[in-house]
Amino acid sequence: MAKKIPRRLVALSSSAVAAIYFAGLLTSRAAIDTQSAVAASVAPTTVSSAASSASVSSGYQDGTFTGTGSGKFGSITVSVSTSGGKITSVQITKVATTFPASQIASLPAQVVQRQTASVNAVSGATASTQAFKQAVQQALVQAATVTTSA
Amino acid sequence: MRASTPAQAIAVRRPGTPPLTPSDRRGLEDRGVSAARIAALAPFKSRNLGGSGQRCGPLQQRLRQFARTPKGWLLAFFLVLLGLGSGIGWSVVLPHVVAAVLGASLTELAVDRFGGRPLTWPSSALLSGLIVGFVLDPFTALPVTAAVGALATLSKHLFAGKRWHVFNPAGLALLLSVPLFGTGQSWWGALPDLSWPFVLVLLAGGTLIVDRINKAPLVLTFLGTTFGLFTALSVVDPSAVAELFRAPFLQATLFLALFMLTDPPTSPSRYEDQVAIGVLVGAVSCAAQLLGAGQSYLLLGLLVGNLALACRRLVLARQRTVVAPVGERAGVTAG
Repeated sequence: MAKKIPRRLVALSSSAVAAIYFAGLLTSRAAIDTQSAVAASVAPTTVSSAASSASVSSGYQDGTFTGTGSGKFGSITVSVSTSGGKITSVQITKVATTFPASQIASLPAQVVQRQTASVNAVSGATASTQAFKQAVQQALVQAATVTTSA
Repeated sequence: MRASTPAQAIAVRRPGTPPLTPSDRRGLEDRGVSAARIAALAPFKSRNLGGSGQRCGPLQQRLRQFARTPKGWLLAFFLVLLGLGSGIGWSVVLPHVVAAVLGASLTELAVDRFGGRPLTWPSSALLSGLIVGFVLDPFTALPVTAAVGALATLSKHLFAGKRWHVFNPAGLALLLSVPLFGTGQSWWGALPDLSWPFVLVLLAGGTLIVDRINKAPLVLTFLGTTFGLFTALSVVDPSAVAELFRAPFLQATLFLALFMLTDPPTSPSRYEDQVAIGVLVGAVSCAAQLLGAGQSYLLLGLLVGNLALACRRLVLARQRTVVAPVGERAGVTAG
């Protein structure tokens, strides 16, 4: 019944919305690229290597560290607390995924028990598990200290 | 079968006057037009497209008529999405969608039966069931999927006004399914797993339907507000909103904007109202996401917008007075 909006106005408005979207995408791209780079650099440092003649021991600084991991269905942010060189607690502080956090609720306890980011994959929540692992690894990278003796 | 309301009786059609559809009627009511005036503007000629109580024509004629309606267009496009989104596997997708559709449709038929209304083709429930199926994770247990479909239909009847219901049926059911069943939303029907050209498919189909039902201002203001707020925030804290510009959140936002927000019974007709509701839904969705609503941020925004529109309709209904102008004949009374 109402008069139709002129198509030119609709096209102009659509272009404006698209421009806003791409502006946001480009602005936030840097954050995603940084997260990916940190995640990619985590794997080699968590694997100890005996190639060097110097002996290397690693532990964690005392404190609380935050990490974020991204997966297919969104991102997860965790807070990892360490004391005396060990992981004392892990908390999921933000879940921006299309799946509820309850599906990975058991993973923080696994991290504390095993003292590593390697946790069992949760059936039906593989992507969320990966994002969680990535987040924990990112936090542990910040917490890691390396002492060397010649 | 008897006609359930006077408005569904076939009236004399004035030459050149198009029939008054339920959507047109809602638009007039939103503009504060009195019931008597609506009845006098154009006679209502029932074509029994999902209506009740009218003797039906041949099945083929009915199907052809249905195919020309916005619901028919939407159903056709949903079948395209179903085909494109079946990369997960037909053995997973088909039972899942059928469960959602059956849950919604059988519940609609049961409600009509127990409500003493004649049984009709549940076209609205069919579409609600498809939306539920498209949003829910396809690996959800089939009984849960069917239950969520049934919940969608029930919500339409539980929270309803005289000629409209308050909440988008699929939206409310999907939101409630999170605390009730712990469901996940993959929005697979919005094709987030496919490459970016398929976003254009989603946009093309959605644009045709949005243009047909005249909801472009609503969609554009919602998308502009949502993306605008997230873009502004990306300057301050990019990591907080980075994933919202990508799959599956981009496709989820578009799907909700094009097919759920524009649901005619729960969306405004006046352009001014469409702009206001679009901004409201976008702002609430953004706030919900930033406050940690997680997967349900879009649905929360949608339902707040539905509630705002319902409140406005209540206010308009109270302000409207039925006054028959002098010299105006009664004609067919509006049902």
